[in-house]
Amino acid sequence: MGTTRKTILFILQRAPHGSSAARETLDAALAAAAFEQDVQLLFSGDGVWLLQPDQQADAIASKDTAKMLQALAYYDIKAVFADTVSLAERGLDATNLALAVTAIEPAAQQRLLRAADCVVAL
Amino acid sequence: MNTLHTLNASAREHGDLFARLLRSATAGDTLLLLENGVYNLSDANALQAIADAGLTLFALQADIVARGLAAAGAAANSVDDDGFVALACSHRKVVSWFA
Repeated sequence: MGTTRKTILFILQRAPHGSSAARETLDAALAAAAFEQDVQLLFSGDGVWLLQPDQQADAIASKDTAKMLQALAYYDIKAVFADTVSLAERGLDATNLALAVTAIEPAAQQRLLRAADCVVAL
Repeated sequence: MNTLHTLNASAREHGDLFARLLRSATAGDTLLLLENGVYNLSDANALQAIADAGLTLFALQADIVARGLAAAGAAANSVDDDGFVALACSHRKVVSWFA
């Protein structure tokens, strides 16, 4: 394999249950990290519901995305951000989430999008 | 080079998606409306928000014609599929905002 390393920003924008989109975006991010890409995550829109604590996915026989979030550190994914507006609109407290994230304002998100080599939003 | 954003939904039905696009885009970026995204051409509030964000607006001609929006289509630069490809190539990256 070559050593081409790119910064790939994944925008997690779908709620964790009801469709597989959120889980598949996380899968893609983990796969990219396994291929030694610089992976960044931005939780945005209903994607911030992935960060809701105390989810019990087995109650609806759904896959547990919270466990996937815990795997991020093992894939060396450390740049994990969330949209302050999306969190606030949904009443989520940035200091009490299922995963430690850096909540960022729109101006910082604009910088993130500009700096990334590519942006994946599924 | 700037970013090409593509949007396939109307702001009326998918307001959160539209608002997040506007929060994430930088003035000077380009927005291409496609599929049901072209309905935003008939939405004065959406057009104003796009203009306020400093985005250059394009729309896919076939999607405009298919939806009978030719009159409203004048609000954007229209492109065909080749034009879409040209836009994708002339921007550093493409960000898809799909409902």
